[in-house]
Amino acid sequence: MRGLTEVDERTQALVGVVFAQSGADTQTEILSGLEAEGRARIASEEDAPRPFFQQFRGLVLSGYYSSEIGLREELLYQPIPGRFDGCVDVSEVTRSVSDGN
Amino acid sequence: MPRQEHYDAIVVGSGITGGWAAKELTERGLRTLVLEAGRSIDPENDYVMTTQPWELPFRGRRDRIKQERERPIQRECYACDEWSEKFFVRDDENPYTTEDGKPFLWIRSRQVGGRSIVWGRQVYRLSDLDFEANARDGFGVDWPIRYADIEPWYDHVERFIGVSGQAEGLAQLPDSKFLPPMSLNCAEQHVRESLMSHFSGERVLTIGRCAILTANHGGRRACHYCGTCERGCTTHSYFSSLAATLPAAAVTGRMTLRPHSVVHSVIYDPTSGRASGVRVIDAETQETLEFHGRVVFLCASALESTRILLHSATERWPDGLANSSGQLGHNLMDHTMGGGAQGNISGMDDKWVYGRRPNGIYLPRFRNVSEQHPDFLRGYAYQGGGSRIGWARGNDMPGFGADFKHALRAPGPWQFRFYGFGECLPRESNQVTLDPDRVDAWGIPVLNIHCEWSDNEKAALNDMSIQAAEMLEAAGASEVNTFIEDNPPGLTIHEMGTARMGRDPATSVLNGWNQSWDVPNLFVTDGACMTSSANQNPSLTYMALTARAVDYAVKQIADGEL
Repeated sequence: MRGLTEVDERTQALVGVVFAQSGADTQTEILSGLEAEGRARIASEEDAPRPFFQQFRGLVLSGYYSSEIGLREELLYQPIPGRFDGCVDVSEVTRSVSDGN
Repeated sequence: MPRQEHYDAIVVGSGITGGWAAKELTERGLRTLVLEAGRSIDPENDYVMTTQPWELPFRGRRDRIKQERERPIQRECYACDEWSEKFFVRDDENPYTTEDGKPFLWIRSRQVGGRSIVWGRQVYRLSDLDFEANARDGFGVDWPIRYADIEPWYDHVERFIGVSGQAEGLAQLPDSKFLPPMSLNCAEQHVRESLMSHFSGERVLTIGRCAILTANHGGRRACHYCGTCERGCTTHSYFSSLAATLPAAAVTGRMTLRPHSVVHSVIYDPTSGRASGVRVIDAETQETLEFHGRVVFLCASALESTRILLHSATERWPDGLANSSGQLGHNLMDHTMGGGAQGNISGMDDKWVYGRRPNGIYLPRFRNVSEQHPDFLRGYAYQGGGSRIGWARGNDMPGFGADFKHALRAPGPWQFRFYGFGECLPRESNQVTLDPDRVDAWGIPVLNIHCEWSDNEKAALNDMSIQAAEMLEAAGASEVNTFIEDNPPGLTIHEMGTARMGRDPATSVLNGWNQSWDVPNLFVTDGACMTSSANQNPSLTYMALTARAVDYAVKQIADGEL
């Protein structure tokens, strides 16, 4: 939660409104900064706790790709493929197949 | 006096070996009681194959607080997830003890079908390289059987369960009676061909041999490749006792299956020198019951069967029933796992797979097959395979927003992973005893488990990692990374030994027919009987030994010997 508060604080310091009310360019700038800081921390500190940006993005990824929209609409939804073929053209499976989880 | 019932045969356990004992006994005309400690499983309601992640409260990421409370040990198994944790015991009801700093992870199921509902389904024959191993290097005692003794029983079991795989004609890994193999993917085919030429045919990468149907078989349907077998298969496409052997036993009309029956001990009759039956605690009512039978088959899993024998001590055998040899509880083994390497395979980015294959590759043992390695005895084999990681690679990729999301629609690079499984030497010091101070939820003393890897296992684990990297490099892989995991014994869930077979009653618990040397109508046919561990996944051997032991027992009964 502290990470989220910090996102708003940074945005307010920059443009005077909270993150959700700021424009796309501001949001991109804030997130780019957070990501770069996180990456630098991962690179410099061994066994550092996962920085806020990377941790939060991981939750967004697993949340989205385990949702009905993420699985059914964004990915190729194949609950019962019915067969296995070990070598097909990527064009036949245009989108990342869910790994079942 | 407790209520008593009489049967021709009693089978303790309804998992992979109990199911086989039940089928073979009933088909030979014996009225058979199958006792299962856990509940009944109804595939219609209990299997969660079609449950989607968004239908679960934690989206499949598990309720960690609940697992910490109820299954702090079981959760270490990959299959004990938010879908399938109900197929594993609650650790708070089923405790055991270990010494500080010497963990053993005992992964267990108590339910009709046992662990066969969540097993890994990999099936491999042992060969004479394995059956002669103890005699050759002097660790453990000699197996009382050789490959020729078990070969027809492997055939018998495989024809019934359905095994998909590719015949390779290797002496150290005899071929099974195969259904059509699942296909290798493009990366695996490439690595197979590279290794064939680079290692002159000594390292053969083949598709995993698994008890999953690739064609309709015995009334069960071919696999539909949903990829999550451990959630329970409603088409019964992988073998489990619940899907195949128990129904076959039920059809005979001679099986009585009793769930919620926790076996307390085997009842020994000193007058006849035989086991007269078993004492049971009803798990729901806590009532004590007795069941009597002409033969008793312990198929409760290696450590549970041994625990029952340890808890059935008599005046004649104060250290556990049928324990004249003093070997009961000793020579506990598991397989090591987790030496290996992974790397990227380039040049086939336009190819992918269709469907989720519930199986990987197998690279059979090549160490100590023709010449002796200087650092370790016995051998190891690899599982693993090739894959292209999907959205999960977003965790390690720079970026966010629309471009990031669109990039994750395409698969990542082809990765290939070799993950080794190694043989464990039988050693007397690895052992289980009854803990005098602790009982389970039914008042039965729990096991104290003492098990450690020896230097031999560690040396082989190290070699797995080196050889895996060498093979990936031979296949032209890039970014090759080696690993050596520090997995405690037990986690491979191939625990075995503790009531070993042998040629001499002075040094073994069971003879070459899985029959107690001391109590002739008592048989132990689960993993407890194993004299050495080999490096292959063991369930197929347990099943074959069970069918063979039943055949012997029934002939002994017919001959008036039992």
